[in-house]
Amino acid sequence: MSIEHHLDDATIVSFAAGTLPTPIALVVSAHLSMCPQCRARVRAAEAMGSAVLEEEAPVSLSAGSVNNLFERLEAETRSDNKGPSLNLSKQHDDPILPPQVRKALGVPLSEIKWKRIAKGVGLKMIDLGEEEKGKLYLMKIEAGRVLPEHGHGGSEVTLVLSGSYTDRFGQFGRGDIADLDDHVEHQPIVDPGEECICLVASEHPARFTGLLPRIFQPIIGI
Amino acid sequence: MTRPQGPDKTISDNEQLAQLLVRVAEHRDKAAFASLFEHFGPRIKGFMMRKGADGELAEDLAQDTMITVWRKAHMYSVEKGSVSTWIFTIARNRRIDWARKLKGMQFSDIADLEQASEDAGADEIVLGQQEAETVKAAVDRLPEDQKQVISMAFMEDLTQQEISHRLDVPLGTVKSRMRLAYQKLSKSLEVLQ
Repeated sequence: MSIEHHLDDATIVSFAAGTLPTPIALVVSAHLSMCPQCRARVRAAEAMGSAVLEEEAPVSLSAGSVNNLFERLEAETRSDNKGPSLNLSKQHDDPILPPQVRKALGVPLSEIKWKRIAKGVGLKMIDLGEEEKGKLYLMKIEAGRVLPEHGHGGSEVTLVLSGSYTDRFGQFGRGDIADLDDHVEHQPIVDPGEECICLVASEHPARFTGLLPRIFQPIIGI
Repeated sequence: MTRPQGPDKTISDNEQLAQLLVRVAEHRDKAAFASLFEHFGPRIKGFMMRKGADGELAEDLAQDTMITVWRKAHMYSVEKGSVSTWIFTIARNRRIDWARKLKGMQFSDIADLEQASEDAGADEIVLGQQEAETVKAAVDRLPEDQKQVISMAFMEDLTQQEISHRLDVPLGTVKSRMRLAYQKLSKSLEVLQ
């Protein structure tokens, strides 16, 4: 199934600028690792950023700078070490979790201890190890389940990792991302036949519209 | 408002820089590498300092950036944009990952994401040799309010929420200005294809 739901242009720009809150940036990055179209869009936005940056005023380097650089290069060549930058290699090869999510989670999907937050709904918070202005979590929802209608106080992105759900924006399957504006309300229904696993990042707590979900919200903790 | 600039200079610089980078990639040419560092080092240092790094750290990050350039030189191709775009993108990603202080949590680099993807190599090519010039012209032509949000995002590192507070406009307005700016830019890039 090809990807039908993509990132908002504004999200593309902010990702390229590096100014998305970390949890949201991680979900966006997971979508990007599945979506060549959005990668091309980020590259275009990066070019826009570089056009702005090329006007940067240069600051002279210190006298020993070139020597320092070459010493580091020597060390690099000697140890023949590829460095820490390519941490996204397929070493884990998880068919469902993208590598950066697998890494943040620390365990494979099969070893997750899901917290049951409602009938048919499991939650796993992902700790990014620092103070953040948002939350990152996985949700596992059984086939056919209807979630409470809810809106969002801030930005929220939801990436489908397996299974699918449908709401008023259409059907969302693996790789599809719901990049919702604040104040948008929706009621996702998981499609029959297969449970749905989603990766969600939100900037502020979601606000549920009905009274009952409002009561549950502190318990759910999302 | 357009700034005075020398368009011819941009092209020849880009071509020279591309030749230097090719020599680094194919011959591991250290003299070419030193020339790239002389050109980009001070600019990257300036960039890092304006983002809050002190002189020493800024220089360290500039060197980090160049080590990454050395390591990834073979991954550069003109289809990925001008050399400046490519190197500034690496610099920006170094800085973003440094600011996140998340060791081993680097996920900003599109080239890395492509490698990790399920269909590596399938990326559509959108950018060509003329790209730097075209993008710059497109950015210069943006209406002032759109240019402002773009520059606040890329130069001042402000989130959408922070830009909205700073300008005292709703978040939705910030997003729609960003969208309009991006859409104009991508239209101007389509013309090149």
